[in-house]
Amino acid sequence: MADVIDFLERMGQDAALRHAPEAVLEQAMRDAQMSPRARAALMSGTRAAIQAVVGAENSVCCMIYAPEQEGEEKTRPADNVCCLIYAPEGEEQESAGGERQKAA
Amino acid sequence: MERRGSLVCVGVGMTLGSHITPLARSYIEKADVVFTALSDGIIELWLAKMNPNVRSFQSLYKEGKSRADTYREMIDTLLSEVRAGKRVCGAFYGHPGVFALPPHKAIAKAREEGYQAHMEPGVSAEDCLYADLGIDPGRYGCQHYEASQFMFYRRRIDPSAYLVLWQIGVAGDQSFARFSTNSRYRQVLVDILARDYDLSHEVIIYRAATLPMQKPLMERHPLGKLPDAQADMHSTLVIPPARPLEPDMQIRERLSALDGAVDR
Repeated sequence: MADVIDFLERMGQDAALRHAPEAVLEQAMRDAQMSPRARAALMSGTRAAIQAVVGAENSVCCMIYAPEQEGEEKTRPADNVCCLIYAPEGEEQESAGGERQKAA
Repeated sequence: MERRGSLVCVGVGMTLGSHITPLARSYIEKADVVFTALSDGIIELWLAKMNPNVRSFQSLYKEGKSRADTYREMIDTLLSEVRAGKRVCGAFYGHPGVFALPPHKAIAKAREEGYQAHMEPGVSAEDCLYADLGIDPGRYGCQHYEASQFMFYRRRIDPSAYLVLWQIGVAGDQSFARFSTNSRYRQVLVDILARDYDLSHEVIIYRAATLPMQKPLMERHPLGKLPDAQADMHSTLVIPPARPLEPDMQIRERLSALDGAVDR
């Protein structure tokens, strides 16, 4: 007995089957010894019926794109964020040798 | 010698069996691990027959969870297997680089880290749309936008060309966490489009066939009725030109002057 997925693949690839009339498809499925339930599901053309026959997942999310916020990209918050970006100057200055010393 | 990992992202096309290229199939068959993001559970089963180690990304989706997080997890998953030295294949429905975020980012990241990574094209929904609706994008020109992005930003559209809006089933979703938005969101989209189109202008809701016995969906509605129409995550909105092409006489005169100079 032909596997339903194999038959679907063959149907997708075969110019004689891809847009064939129902009678031709029905005969091809009988020749492949497919079960009456599988034949009925495929002839119905409904995704849910075919999913039930092959045991496929019926709630599939097919979205693989979300627009990004151009120029306003959000960054993921870190657990510990330091927000200090300023330290007053003048009290101390760094010497050429890297040692900190009191300003005069 | 330790084998370096690699990444290829392939498209399996839209219709089961009809569109996959021999090369894409070969990459799927020869990979150490295949991760899939497909349009249908039946197509997932088809891919599972090509390689014993096919893993679906479906479990990463969840309504209420931002798809930005889902896509980040997809990229991390692909990269962790590459770093582990595996030949990794990401198999995506349609074309892996057309309205598909994780493949582009994963390939860029893998290359950044010094791994071999590339993309193999597939037959996209856009390709099917041209064939099924009899549209040649070269005839009047064709603009493509993701529907939500089209709503979030001010765009200057050309109503003398085709306009194609992708993912209209989730149009206007700022959270990227919904699997659908309702008619009120589509009404906002219609209000934006009404700046350039008459509400009686005919638009088409299109959905490519994913199984070989299916027919493509091609529903025609007046623009003003779009909020009442059924649209899901597979649906694409096609808006035919509403105005004739407008000749630019100034530019034509300049070009004619050049032609005359060349002829002399």
